[in-house]
Amino acid sequence: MYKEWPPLLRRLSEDLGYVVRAGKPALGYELFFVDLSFWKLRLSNRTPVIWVKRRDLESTFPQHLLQSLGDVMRERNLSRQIVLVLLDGESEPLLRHTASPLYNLVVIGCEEQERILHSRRPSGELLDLISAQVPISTLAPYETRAPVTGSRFFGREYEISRIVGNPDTNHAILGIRRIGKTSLLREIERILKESEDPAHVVYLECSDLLATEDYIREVVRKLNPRELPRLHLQRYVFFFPDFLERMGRVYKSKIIFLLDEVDNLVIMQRGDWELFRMLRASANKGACQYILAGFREAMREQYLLDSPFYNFAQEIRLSEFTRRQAHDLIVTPMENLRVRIKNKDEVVGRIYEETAGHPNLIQYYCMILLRQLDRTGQREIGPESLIDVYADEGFKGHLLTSFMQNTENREKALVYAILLSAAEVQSRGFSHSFIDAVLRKRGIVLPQDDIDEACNVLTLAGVLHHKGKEYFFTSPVFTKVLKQTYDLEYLFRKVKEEGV
Amino acid sequence: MIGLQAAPGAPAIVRYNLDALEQIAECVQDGTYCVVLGPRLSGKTVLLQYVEETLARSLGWTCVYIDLYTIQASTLQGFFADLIRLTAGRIGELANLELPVPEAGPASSAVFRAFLSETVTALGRDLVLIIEHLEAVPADLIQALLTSLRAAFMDQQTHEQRVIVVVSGALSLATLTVGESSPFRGIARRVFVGDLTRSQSETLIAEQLARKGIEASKRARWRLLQAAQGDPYLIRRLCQRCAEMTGGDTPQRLRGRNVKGLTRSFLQNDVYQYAPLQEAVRLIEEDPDLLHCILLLLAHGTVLKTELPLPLSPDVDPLYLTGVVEQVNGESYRIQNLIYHRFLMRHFHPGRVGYLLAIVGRWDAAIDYLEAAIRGGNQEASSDLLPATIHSMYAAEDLFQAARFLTRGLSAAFAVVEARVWHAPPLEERLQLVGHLGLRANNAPWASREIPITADRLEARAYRQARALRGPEGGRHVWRAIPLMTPGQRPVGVVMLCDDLQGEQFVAQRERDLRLLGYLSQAARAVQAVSTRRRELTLAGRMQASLLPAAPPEMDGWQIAATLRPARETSGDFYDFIPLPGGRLGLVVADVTDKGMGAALYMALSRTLIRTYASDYPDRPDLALQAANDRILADTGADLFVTVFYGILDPATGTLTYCNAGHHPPYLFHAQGGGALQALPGRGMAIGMIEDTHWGYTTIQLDPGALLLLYTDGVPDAQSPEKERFGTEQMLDVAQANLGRSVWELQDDLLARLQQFIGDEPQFDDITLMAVMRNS
Repeated sequence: MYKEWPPLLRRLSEDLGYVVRAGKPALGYELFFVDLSFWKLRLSNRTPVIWVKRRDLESTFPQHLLQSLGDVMRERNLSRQIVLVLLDGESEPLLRHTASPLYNLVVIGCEEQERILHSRRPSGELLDLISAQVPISTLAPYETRAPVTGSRFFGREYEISRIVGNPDTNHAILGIRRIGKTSLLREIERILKESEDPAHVVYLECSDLLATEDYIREVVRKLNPRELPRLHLQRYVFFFPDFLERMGRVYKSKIIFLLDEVDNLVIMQRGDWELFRMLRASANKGACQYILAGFREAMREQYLLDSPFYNFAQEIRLSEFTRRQAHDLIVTPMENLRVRIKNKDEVVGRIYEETAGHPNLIQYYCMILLRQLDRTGQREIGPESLIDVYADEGFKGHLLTSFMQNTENREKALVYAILLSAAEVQSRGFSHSFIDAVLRKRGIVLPQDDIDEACNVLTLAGVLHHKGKEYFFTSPVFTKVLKQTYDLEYLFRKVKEEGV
Repeated sequence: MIGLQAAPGAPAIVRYNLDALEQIAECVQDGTYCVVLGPRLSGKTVLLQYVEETLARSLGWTCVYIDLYTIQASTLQGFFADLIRLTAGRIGELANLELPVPEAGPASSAVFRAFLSETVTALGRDLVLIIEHLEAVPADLIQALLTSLRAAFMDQQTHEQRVIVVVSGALSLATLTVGESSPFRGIARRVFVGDLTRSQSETLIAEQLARKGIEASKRARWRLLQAAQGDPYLIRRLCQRCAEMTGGDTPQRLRGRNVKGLTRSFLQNDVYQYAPLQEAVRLIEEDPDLLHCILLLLAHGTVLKTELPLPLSPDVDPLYLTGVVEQVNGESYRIQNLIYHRFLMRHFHPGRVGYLLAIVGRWDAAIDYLEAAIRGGNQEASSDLLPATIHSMYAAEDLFQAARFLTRGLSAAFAVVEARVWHAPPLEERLQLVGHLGLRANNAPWASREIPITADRLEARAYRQARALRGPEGGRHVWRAIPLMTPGQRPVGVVMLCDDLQGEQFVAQRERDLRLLGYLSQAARAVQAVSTRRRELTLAGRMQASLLPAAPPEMDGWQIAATLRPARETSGDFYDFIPLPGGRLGLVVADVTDKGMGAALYMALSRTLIRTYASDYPDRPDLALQAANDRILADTGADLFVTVFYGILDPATGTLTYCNAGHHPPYLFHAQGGGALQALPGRGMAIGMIEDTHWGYTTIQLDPGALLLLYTDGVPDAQSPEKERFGTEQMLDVAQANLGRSVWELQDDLLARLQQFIGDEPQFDDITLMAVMRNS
């Protein structure tokens, strides 16, 4: 079958061990998919390759060919991907028309293919070619808006091994917004599905599943949609446990549920907990395993003795990256993008400090750096190229938004009150009683438990960390940016007015 | 890029929003969500329909446009059911595909999401879903819709085909759609449309005039620009009016005065029906701080960001979201155009502002505005002003403040020019002047601040007889004394006021009198409430003060000074000297972490328990505190705690055995080494936090010449008017400078320095100091 493959793909597959699969032809073009995920860039394990043969080039104007390739991408829904075009001819005429980044196309002509085939570093040559045609900020794996998996997923090795290594235990992944809970769930889903003994994994986004009925319908839809039409005839308490057991038998394995964003579900279930009791029962029977992800509400329930959440799942707190994980997230993609980092330790150290190790912020930061490089055409960064975070409105906004999003008025009040107190205390560290005193000084009296919980959330959010009894602000940058941007007296008054 | 560009014949609004067009295209390309926001009538519909048309017809995307105004359901389930049917219908038409529509009947957000997921699978390609006019549905339905779409976004990340959502709505929905707690936060890009720059406004005016065949003078163009700059709809509307007005002329000629007339006419007849301004007014009226900013802009024209009392976040700028304000050079703001300016000036007249501020309880500012409104001739404002002053009196800190609000009410609503407010303290045979109004306030015979109730004066007689009395007539003015009465009780005071006898008819005067008496009756209740509150606090303060040692003990070879300055009537701080067997002396300095009555009671309890257990454990300060801690936790359910330093001083040997339960570390200045300093830090937490706490104790030696300084956090935390902190370092510097002098001199100096530092700032925390020195 390889005979009908372009020589470059044959070489990648036969000699270099890349996984290459032939796809269904599109508009007369041969289509292939190659796994480039281990480069840890935005190239996926199904990077599309369109093969344009010599006969397709005959008497075709480059702009017409480009239109044709655009049609292929639309037909096959490839518009969001970086697509390699293997051209049995010269790449130059086509490249002239792709000078504006009309599509994420990488054109590899005959000459370049030959060069790769005969190179002593063919993978490197191919990567060089790709990074020369696609802006490195596009090629980079960094993503701040959506969850990522596979080649674009970094860190969390401990959490993954704990979850994957304990198939009989339910787990509750707790962490603030944008810390990477969904990505972790998706990565676990990928790992479980690709494992030698694949389990039946169901990912459920629960933020809009507000009633037991919604949840059950969604599970049925994912496991056996044929049963949906008669669902309304059933009584859930009898139907659902039976359904799960039947499905376990159908799939011949335990069903692993990855329940994302369970907080809303928890709020709506408070009271009778009918659904969670069913989940607990199914887990106890061994029919299902549950891996939940949530934040505030899930965290609260974990510790309530009368909650079905109590002792239901092992808690895994997702906090900021370690320095080593941050190093990998910064350095690996940069090196793969052929970006040289001068004074690596200093660069990584500063980014780590300024982002407090928050993976989303690190990625946002790195994207700013890469866009700078795209603008200047340079391929080197050093301490001098690090952004002035106090001046960069985008980064400041992202940093503050992260804080505002992850905190409620009570936590905000606590932070503002501390920042409005003496500067020396902020750098020296502050105790529980100090926090209480500064709040009281400003007219807010909170029970000890509430202060505890607020400190807990702020620690999880990476705003505070504690050594012994003393709390510290994790990032000096955050506190400075907060003070610089807002009138803290005003903000404090506002949260007080709104109620803590 | 997908090549979403403005074609030559594209509508003007598209040409003026190329950036927005590009950003929407990027979102579609990347598969991310997009939120398009703009003022009402800013052309979002035209822009989005253009996007739909270009994506669907020219670029071959499957793109569906949903106008939420076409959905009439008001329930959540009905809304999603309608939305599913509408979307399915549109996609069916477009793709000639029968979609897996859920059975008829109510749906939920989850059903909608499932429908979208199945639809893209059936389509086999991405679906661009444009949902417009979010403002057409209630806020909770918008929230449910966005939550559902967010869930779809997260759900589809591993799928080949996706739904790409573009939602659009009025600017006022920014918080809901892109604010920090919005479901779309972090997954959607926000795109603002609608604002025109000055040059774009000029071009649009020129285009509109040319299209209507109007020849306009330079002055007319300038006036049009001033009137409607930045607002494309307003520009088009004014130009249309221009065309209608000059319809008879050939060629049509437009002059400056025509535009002036049109602007005036728009402001008189149309402005209250103009949707963008209605929305702006709603936003501004909901937020008193935003209102304050707008008032500043109206008063001063262009104002620097830093001078506006609003946190202008880099994220969602609340001023921008009103749609009536524009940025100038990135540093300042101003109202966007003349029509907005004039309308807002007229709308936010002092009476309305006062009313709005009264609603949110900003009484002082509300009264200012309401007074200004009354002065400006709006007598209706007095019906808001009087309740505002009464509410303010109830919230007053003391009687003087309450009386000030009362006189403001009298002055503004009843045109009283001179008045005195006398309070009769219970069980005291005197009237005390607590407030006055008028220029002659300090002149004799009014200067006296107290009069006996037996005095032969109008106010005293009115008080004794509990009825209003008039002074002698004879001139234009007459004085009246009106007792402040509460039913069934003695008057709480008397109001003397000077009435103008001329200018009013009898009936009008009588009516005014009745209103005045009604007002004073309400004021009497407020004065009584404040008086009772103050009396109770004062009594509590006196009781508490009586718990403190009358004077520090005198011991041979030792000097001891101590003082406490409460921030309010009652205090959470205390100090104590406890006589112990063997001539020893217990030294206690403590701070309850609150102020007010609760803290005072807690203080009294703590002091008693420490005293009790100090006798039980005369050698072990830690055990005494431990016992007090357990007892406090057992007996009180308060969320309070107290930091305590308790030391047992043996005057004979100079040893001090101490235990510090979470208190600020006292400092010991040794006699040797030029006053070498030693902190006596705390171990563990404060008393009242956790049961079974163990602190341990330490023994140190106070050699001759040594000085021990104990204090509460009111000393280092004292704040200057510049909000600087006095600090521990400064406190120690003062102490160091006074080494060698007596402890009383040290105490006086330290208090004087603190007072100097605090200046006119109110003292916000109790201040306690204790100094113990062993004579050399």
